Amino acid sequence: MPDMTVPAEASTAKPKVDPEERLRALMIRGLDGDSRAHRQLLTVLSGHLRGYFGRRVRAATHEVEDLVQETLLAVHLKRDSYDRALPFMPWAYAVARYKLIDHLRRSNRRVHVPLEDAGALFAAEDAEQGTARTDLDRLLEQLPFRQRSLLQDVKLHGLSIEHRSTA
Amino acid sequence: MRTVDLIDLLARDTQPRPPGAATRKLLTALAAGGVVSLALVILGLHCQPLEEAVRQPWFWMKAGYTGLLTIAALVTVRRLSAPGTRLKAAPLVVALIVLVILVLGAGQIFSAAPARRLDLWLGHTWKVCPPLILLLALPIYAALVLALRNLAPTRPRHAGAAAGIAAGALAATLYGLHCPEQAAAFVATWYTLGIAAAAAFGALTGRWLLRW
Repeated sequence: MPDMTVPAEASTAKPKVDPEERLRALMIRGLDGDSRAHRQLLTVLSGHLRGYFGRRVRAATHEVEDLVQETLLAVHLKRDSYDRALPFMPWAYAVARYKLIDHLRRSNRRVHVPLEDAGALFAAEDAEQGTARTDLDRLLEQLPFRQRSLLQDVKLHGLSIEHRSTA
Repeated sequence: MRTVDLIDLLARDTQPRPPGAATRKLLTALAAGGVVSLALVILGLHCQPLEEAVRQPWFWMKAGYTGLLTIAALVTVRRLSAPGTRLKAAPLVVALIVLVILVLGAGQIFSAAPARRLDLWLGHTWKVCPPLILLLALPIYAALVLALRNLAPTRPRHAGAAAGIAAGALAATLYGLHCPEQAAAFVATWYTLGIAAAAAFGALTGRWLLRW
Protein backbone atom coordinates (compact mmCIF):
# COMPACT_ATOMS: atom_id res chain seq x y z
CA MET A 1 0.00 0.00 0.00
CA PRO A 2 1.66 3.30 -1.05
CA ASP A 3 2.30 5.84 1.66
CA MET A 4 -0.53 8.38 1.20
CA THR A 5 0.72 10.78 3.83
CA VAL A 6 3.88 11.98 2.10
CA PRO A 7 3.77 15.77 2.34
CA ALA A 8 3.65 17.58 -0.98
CA GLU A 9 6.90 19.43 -0.34
CA ALA A 10 8.74 16.16 -0.05
CA SER A 11 7.65 15.08 -3.51
CA THR A 12 10.09 16.01 -6.22
CA ALA A 13 7.26 16.11 -8.73
CA LYS A 14 5.24 18.87 -7.04
CA PRO A 15 3.95 21.14 -9.80
CA LYS A 16 4.09 24.91 -9.33
CA VAL A 17 0.62 26.40 -9.48
CA ASP A 18 0.51 28.22 -12.77
CA PRO A 19 -1.20 31.60 -12.21
CA GLU A 20 -3.01 31.30 -15.52
CA GLU A 21 -4.42 27.90 -14.55
CA ARG A 22 -5.37 29.14 -11.11
CA LEU A 23 -7.16 32.23 -12.34
CA ARG A 24 -8.81 30.36 -15.18
CA ALA A 25 -10.11 27.73 -12.76
CA LEU A 26 -11.51 30.47 -10.51
CA MET A 27 -13.14 32.17 -13.49
CA ILE A 28 -14.77 28.97 -14.70
CA ARG A 29 -16.02 28.08 -11.23
CA GLY A 30 -17.39 31.60 -10.94
CA LEU A 31 -19.14 31.16 -14.28
CA ASP A 32 -20.71 28.01 -12.92
CA GLY A 33 -22.12 30.00 -10.02
CA ASP A 34 -19.48 29.56 -7.29
CA SER A 35 -19.60 32.98 -5.63
CA ARG A 36 -16.58 32.29 -3.40
CA ALA A 37 -14.42 31.49 -6.39
CA HIS A 38 -15.70 34.60 -8.15
CA ARG A 39 -14.95 36.74 -5.10
CA GLN A 40 -11.46 35.31 -4.89
CA LEU A 41 -10.89 35.97 -8.58
CA LEU A 42 -11.98 39.60 -8.28
CA THR A 43 -9.83 40.09 -5.18
CA VAL A 44 -6.72 38.67 -6.83
CA LEU A 45 -7.44 40.68 -9.97
CA SER A 46 -7.86 43.90 -8.01
CA GLY A 47 -4.31 43.60 -6.73
CA HIS A 48 -2.93 43.05 -10.20
CA LEU A 49 -5.05 45.85 -11.65
CA ARG A 50 -3.88 48.30 -9.02
CA GLY A 51 -0.29 47.55 -9.90
CA TYR A 52 -0.96 47.72 -13.62
CA PHE A 53 -2.82 51.02 -13.54
CA GLY A 54 -0.62 52.51 -10.85
CA ARG A 55 2.40 52.23 -13.10
CA ARG A 56 0.63 53.73 -16.11
CA VAL A 57 -1.66 56.42 -14.82
CA ARG A 58 -0.10 59.52 -13.36
CA ALA A 59 -2.98 60.23 -11.05
CA ALA A 60 -4.13 60.29 -7.47
CA THR A 61 -4.62 56.98 -5.72
CA HIS A 62 -8.37 57.32 -5.76
CA GLU A 63 -8.37 57.74 -9.52
CA VAL A 64 -6.38 54.55 -9.87
CA GLU A 65 -8.86 52.89 -7.55
CA ASP A 66 -11.76 54.17 -9.69
CA LEU A 67 -10.12 52.50 -12.64
CA VAL A 68 -9.65 49.29 -10.66
CA GLN A 69 -13.32 49.30 -9.71
CA GLU A 70 -14.48 50.10 -13.24
CA THR A 71 -12.42 47.23 -14.55
CA LEU A 72 -13.66 44.80 -11.91
CA LEU A 73 -17.19 45.81 -12.83
CA ALA A 74 -16.42 45.18 -16.49
CA VAL A 75 -14.86 41.80 -15.71
CA HIS A 76 -18.05 40.92 -13.86
CA LEU A 77 -20.59 42.30 -16.33
CA LYS A 78 -18.84 41.08 -19.47
CA ARG A 79 -17.92 37.60 -18.34
CA ASP A 80 -20.22 36.07 -20.96
CA SER A 81 -17.69 37.22 -23.53
CA TYR A 82 -15.00 34.92 -22.09
CA ASP A 83 -14.53 31.67 -23.99
CA ARG A 84 -13.76 28.92 -21.46
CA ALA A 85 -11.62 27.02 -23.95
CA LEU A 86 -9.22 29.96 -24.25
CA PRO A 87 -6.66 31.31 -21.75
CA PHE A 88 -7.97 33.69 -19.11
CA MET A 89 -5.14 36.14 -18.66
CA PRO A 90 -5.17 37.55 -22.21
CA TRP A 91 -8.89 38.19 -21.77
CA ALA A 92 -8.43 39.95 -18.44
CA TYR A 93 -5.50 41.95 -19.75
CA ALA A 94 -7.47 43.07 -22.81
CA VAL A 95 -10.32 44.25 -20.57
CA ALA A 96 -7.90 46.19 -18.36
CA ARG A 97 -6.16 47.73 -21.32
CA TYR A 98 -9.47 48.76 -22.90
CA LYS A 99 -10.47 50.49 -19.68
CA LEU A 100 -7.08 52.16 -19.38
CA ILE A 101 -7.29 53.58 -22.90
CA ASP A 102 -10.84 54.71 -22.25
CA HIS A 103 -9.74 56.42 -19.07
CA LEU A 104 -6.81 58.19 -20.70
CA ARG A 105 -9.07 59.50 -23.43
CA ARG A 106 -11.62 60.77 -20.93
CA SER A 107 -9.29 62.24 -18.36
CA ASN A 108 -7.71 64.59 -20.84
CA ARG A 109 -10.87 66.59 -20.82
CA ARG A 110 -11.66 66.31 -17.14
CA VAL A 111 -10.56 68.91 -14.59
CA HIS A 112 -9.04 66.95 -11.75
CA VAL A 113 -9.30 68.20 -8.16
CA PRO A 114 -7.17 66.00 -5.91
CA LEU A 115 -9.06 65.72 -2.63
CA GLU A 116 -6.48 63.51 -1.01
CA ASP A 117 -4.06 66.39 -0.61
CA ALA A 118 -6.29 67.99 2.01
CA GLY A 119 -7.09 64.73 3.72
CA ALA A 120 -3.63 63.19 3.50
CA LEU A 121 -2.80 64.09 7.07
CA PHE A 122 -5.93 62.42 8.34
CA ALA A 123 -7.04 58.83 8.08
CA ALA A 124 -6.47 57.60 4.55
CA GLU A 125 -9.67 55.59 4.85
CA ASP A 126 -11.81 58.71 5.11
CA ALA A 127 -10.34 60.36 2.07
CA GLU A 128 -10.94 57.23 0.08
CA GLN A 129 -14.57 57.04 1.17
CA GLY A 130 -15.21 60.66 0.28
CA THR A 131 -13.76 60.67 -3.18
CA ALA A 132 -15.26 57.30 -4.06
CA ARG A 133 -18.74 58.68 -3.51
CA THR A 134 -18.43 61.42 -6.13
CA ASP A 135 -17.61 58.84 -8.74
CA LEU A 136 -20.22 56.35 -7.61
CA ASP A 137 -22.85 57.83 -9.93
CA ARG A 138 -20.65 57.37 -12.94
CA LEU A 139 -19.86 53.83 -11.87
CA LEU A 140 -23.55 53.10 -11.34
CA GLU A 141 -24.45 54.38 -14.79
CA GLN A 142 -22.69 51.43 -16.31
CA LEU A 143 -24.78 48.87 -14.48
CA PRO A 144 -28.00 47.46 -15.84
CA PHE A 145 -31.02 48.66 -13.93
CA ARG A 146 -31.43 45.65 -11.68
CA GLN A 147 -27.87 45.68 -10.40
CA ARG A 148 -27.81 49.44 -10.14
CA SER A 149 -30.87 49.60 -7.93
CA LEU A 150 -29.46 46.79 -5.82
CA LEU A 151 -26.24 48.72 -5.27
CA GLN A 152 -28.11 51.94 -4.53
CA ASP A 153 -30.41 50.31 -2.03
CA VAL A 154 -27.64 48.50 -0.24
CA LYS A 155 -24.91 51.07 -0.12
CA LEU A 156 -26.72 54.36 -0.12
CA HIS A 157 -29.85 53.47 1.74
CA GLY A 158 -28.30 50.91 4.03
CA LEU A 159 -30.60 48.00 3.30
CA SER A 160 -29.08 44.61 3.85
CA ILE A 161 -28.70 42.33 0.87
CA GLU A 162 -31.22 39.86 2.27
CA HIS A 163 -33.86 42.52 2.85
CA ARG A 164 -33.38 43.96 -0.65
CA SER A 165 -33.74 40.55 -2.30
CA THR A 166 -37.11 39.99 -0.72
CA ALA A 167 -38.33 43.56 -1.30
CA MET B 1 -17.20 52.83 -2.32
CA ARG B 2 -14.40 50.61 -1.16
CA THR B 3 -13.19 48.04 -3.60
CA VAL B 4 -13.70 45.20 -1.12
CA ASP B 5 -17.35 46.23 -0.82
CA LEU B 6 -17.76 46.33 -4.57
CA ILE B 7 -16.22 42.87 -4.83
CA ASP B 8 -18.55 41.69 -2.10
CA LEU B 9 -21.57 42.95 -4.01
CA LEU B 10 -20.43 41.54 -7.33
CA ALA B 11 -19.71 38.17 -5.76
CA ARG B 12 -23.26 38.05 -4.42
CA ASP B 13 -24.49 38.55 -7.99
CA THR B 14 -22.84 35.35 -9.20
CA GLN B 15 -25.44 33.79 -11.44
CA PRO B 16 -24.30 30.66 -13.29
CA ARG B 17 -23.56 31.48 -16.90
CA PRO B 18 -23.95 28.61 -19.40
CA PRO B 19 -20.98 27.90 -21.67
CA GLY B 20 -21.32 29.27 -25.18
CA ALA B 21 -23.53 32.12 -23.98
CA ALA B 22 -21.86 34.57 -26.34
CA THR B 23 -22.40 32.49 -29.47
CA ARG B 24 -25.97 31.81 -28.43
CA LYS B 25 -26.65 35.54 -27.98
CA LEU B 26 -25.31 36.29 -31.44
CA LEU B 27 -27.25 33.47 -33.10
CA THR B 28 -30.44 34.55 -31.34
CA ALA B 29 -29.88 38.09 -32.56
CA LEU B 30 -29.42 36.84 -36.10
CA ALA B 31 -32.61 34.80 -35.86
CA ALA B 32 -34.68 37.59 -34.32
CA GLY B 33 -33.50 40.21 -36.79
CA GLY B 34 -33.81 37.66 -39.59
CA VAL B 35 -37.46 37.02 -38.77
CA VAL B 36 -38.21 40.74 -39.05
CA SER B 37 -36.40 41.02 -42.38
CA LEU B 38 -38.06 37.84 -43.63
CA ALA B 39 -41.45 39.35 -42.82
CA LEU B 40 -40.46 42.46 -44.76
CA VAL B 41 -39.46 40.34 -47.75
CA ILE B 42 -42.62 38.22 -47.73
CA LEU B 43 -45.06 41.02 -47.03
CA GLY B 44 -43.37 43.98 -48.66
CA LEU B 45 -41.43 42.61 -51.58
CA HIS B 46 -43.20 39.31 -52.16
CA CYS B 47 -41.36 36.11 -52.96
CA GLN B 48 -40.74 34.90 -56.46
CA PRO B 49 -42.28 31.52 -57.43
CA LEU B 50 -40.13 29.51 -55.04
CA GLU B 51 -41.07 26.00 -56.14
CA GLU B 52 -39.53 26.85 -59.48
CA ALA B 53 -36.63 28.83 -58.13
CA VAL B 54 -35.30 26.21 -55.69
CA ARG B 55 -34.78 23.85 -58.63
CA GLN B 56 -32.45 26.27 -60.35
CA PRO B 57 -28.69 26.25 -59.82
CA TRP B 58 -28.52 30.04 -59.83
CA PHE B 59 -30.80 30.18 -56.78
CA TRP B 60 -28.28 28.10 -54.82
CA MET B 61 -25.33 30.02 -56.23
CA LYS B 62 -26.81 33.15 -54.69
CA ALA B 63 -27.88 31.48 -51.44
CA GLY B 64 -24.52 29.75 -51.17
CA TYR B 65 -22.58 32.95 -51.56
CA THR B 66 -24.59 34.99 -49.08
CA GLY B 67 -25.13 32.09 -46.68
CA LEU B 68 -21.43 31.26 -46.39
CA LEU B 69 -20.65 34.94 -46.03
CA THR B 70 -23.12 35.19 -43.13
CA ILE B 71 -21.44 32.33 -41.31
CA ALA B 72 -17.90 33.59 -41.88
CA ALA B 73 -18.86 37.10 -40.78
CA LEU B 74 -20.61 35.83 -37.67
CA VAL B 75 -17.52 33.86 -36.63
CA THR B 76 -15.55 37.08 -37.05
CA VAL B 77 -18.07 38.97 -34.91
CA ARG B 78 -17.86 36.31 -32.20
CA ARG B 79 -14.08 36.61 -32.06
CA LEU B 80 -14.25 40.39 -32.04
CA SER B 81 -16.74 40.30 -29.16
CA ALA B 82 -14.24 38.70 -26.80
CA PRO B 83 -11.33 40.74 -25.44
CA GLY B 84 -7.95 39.32 -26.29
CA THR B 85 -9.19 36.80 -28.88
CA ARG B 86 -7.14 36.38 -32.02
CA LEU B 87 -9.11 36.75 -35.25
CA LYS B 88 -6.90 34.25 -37.07
CA ALA B 89 -8.28 33.28 -40.48
CA ALA B 90 -11.86 34.49 -40.05
CA PRO B 91 -11.57 37.82 -41.94
CA LEU B 92 -9.55 36.07 -44.64
CA VAL B 93 -12.35 33.58 -45.16
CA VAL B 94 -14.78 36.47 -45.58
CA ALA B 95 -12.49 38.04 -48.18
CA LEU B 96 -12.03 34.71 -49.92
CA ILE B 97 -15.76 34.12 -50.29
CA VAL B 98 -16.18 37.56 -51.85
CA LEU B 99 -13.21 36.87 -54.12
CA VAL B 100 -14.76 33.62 -55.35
CA ILE B 101 -18.01 35.30 -56.39
CA LEU B 102 -16.08 38.12 -58.05
CA VAL B 103 -14.12 35.58 -60.06
CA LEU B 104 -17.31 33.74 -61.01
CA GLY B 105 -18.93 37.01 -62.01
CA ALA B 106 -15.97 38.16 -64.04
CA GLY B 107 -15.75 34.76 -65.71
CA GLN B 108 -19.38 34.96 -66.69
CA ILE B 109 -18.97 38.41 -68.20
CA PHE B 110 -15.89 37.52 -70.20
CA SER B 111 -17.34 34.29 -71.53
CA ALA B 112 -20.53 36.01 -72.67
CA ALA B 113 -21.07 37.61 -76.05
CA PRO B 114 -20.10 41.31 -75.88
CA ALA B 115 -23.61 42.45 -76.80
CA ARG B 116 -25.07 40.66 -73.81
CA ARG B 117 -22.55 41.80 -71.24
CA LEU B 118 -24.19 44.97 -70.05
CA ASP B 119 -27.62 43.33 -69.65
CA LEU B 120 -26.02 40.44 -67.81
CA TRP B 121 -24.29 42.75 -65.42
CA LEU B 122 -27.08 45.26 -64.76
CA GLY B 123 -30.05 42.92 -64.90
CA HIS B 124 -33.40 44.58 -64.33
CA THR B 125 -33.04 45.65 -60.72
CA TRP B 126 -29.48 46.89 -60.21
CA LYS B 127 -30.68 50.25 -58.90
CA VAL B 128 -32.92 48.92 -56.16
CA CYS B 129 -30.94 45.86 -55.12
CA PRO B 130 -28.21 47.43 -52.93
CA PRO B 131 -30.55 49.85 -51.11
CA LEU B 132 -33.03 47.07 -50.43
CA ILE B 133 -30.34 44.80 -49.04
CA LEU B 134 -29.12 47.65 -46.80
CA LEU B 135 -32.66 48.27 -45.60
CA LEU B 136 -33.26 44.61 -44.85
CA ALA B 137 -29.94 44.48 -43.01
CA LEU B 138 -30.96 47.14 -40.50
CA PRO B 139 -33.22 45.03 -38.23
CA ILE B 140 -30.58 42.27 -38.16
CA TYR B 141 -27.82 44.77 -37.42
CA ALA B 142 -29.88 46.32 -34.64
CA ALA B 143 -30.35 42.91 -33.04
CA LEU B 144 -26.62 42.16 -33.32
CA VAL B 145 -25.81 45.49 -31.69
CA LEU B 146 -28.06 44.62 -28.76
CA ALA B 147 -26.25 41.31 -28.37
CA LEU B 148 -22.83 42.93 -28.67
CA ARG B 149 -23.67 45.46 -26.00
CA ASN B 150 -23.87 42.53 -23.60
CA LEU B 151 -20.47 41.34 -24.78
CA ALA B 152 -17.12 43.12 -24.90
CA PRO B 153 -15.81 44.18 -28.29
CA THR B 154 -12.47 45.90 -27.70
CA ARG B 155 -12.43 47.18 -31.28
CA PRO B 156 -15.90 48.68 -31.69
CA ARG B 157 -15.41 49.86 -35.25
CA HIS B 158 -14.22 46.46 -36.47
CA ALA B 159 -16.99 44.71 -34.57
CA GLY B 160 -19.54 47.08 -36.11
CA ALA B 161 -18.20 46.44 -39.59
CA ALA B 162 -18.25 42.66 -39.11
CA ALA B 163 -21.77 42.83 -37.70
CA GLY B 164 -22.72 44.90 -40.75
CA ILE B 165 -21.33 42.24 -43.08
CA ALA B 166 -23.19 39.48 -41.21
CA ALA B 167 -26.41 41.49 -41.24
CA GLY B 168 -26.00 42.41 -44.91
CA ALA B 169 -25.20 38.86 -45.94
CA LEU B 170 -28.21 37.41 -44.11
CA ALA B 171 -30.40 40.19 -45.53
CA ALA B 172 -29.11 39.36 -49.01
CA THR B 173 -29.93 35.69 -48.45
CA LEU B 174 -33.51 36.58 -47.52
CA TYR B 175 -33.66 39.07 -50.40
CA GLY B 176 -32.82 36.14 -52.67
CA LEU B 177 -36.28 34.74 -51.93
CA HIS B 178 -37.73 37.69 -53.82
CA CYS B 179 -35.03 38.59 -56.32
CA PRO B 180 -35.36 36.99 -59.79
CA GLU B 181 -31.87 37.92 -61.00
CA GLN B 182 -29.79 34.94 -62.06
CA ALA B 183 -26.39 36.16 -63.16
CA ALA B 184 -23.34 35.62 -61.00
CA ALA B 185 -22.01 38.91 -62.35
CA PHE B 186 -25.08 40.68 -61.02
CA VAL B 187 -24.81 39.05 -57.62
CA ALA B 188 -21.08 39.67 -57.38
CA THR B 189 -21.60 43.37 -57.95
CA TRP B 190 -24.94 44.49 -56.54
CA TYR B 191 -25.40 42.04 -53.69
CA THR B 192 -21.84 42.69 -52.60
CA LEU B 193 -22.43 46.43 -52.84
CA GLY B 194 -25.46 46.16 -50.56
CA ILE B 195 -23.49 44.08 -48.07
CA ALA B 196 -20.57 46.52 -48.23
CA ALA B 197 -22.97 49.39 -47.52
CA ALA B 198 -24.19 47.54 -44.44
CA ALA B 199 -20.56 47.01 -43.39
CA ALA B 200 -19.81 50.70 -43.76
CA PHE B 201 -22.91 51.56 -41.75
CA GLY B 202 -21.73 49.16 -39.06
CA ALA B 203 -18.23 50.59 -38.99
CA LEU B 204 -19.54 54.14 -38.64
CA THR B 205 -22.16 53.45 -35.99
CA GLY B 206 -20.27 50.70 -34.15
CA ARG B 207 -17.81 53.20 -32.83
CA TRP B 208 -20.53 54.78 -30.69
CA LEU B 209 -23.03 51.99 -30.21
CA LEU B 210 -20.56 49.32 -29.12
CA ARG B 211 -18.55 51.21 -26.53
CA TRP B 212 -18.64 49.90 -22.96
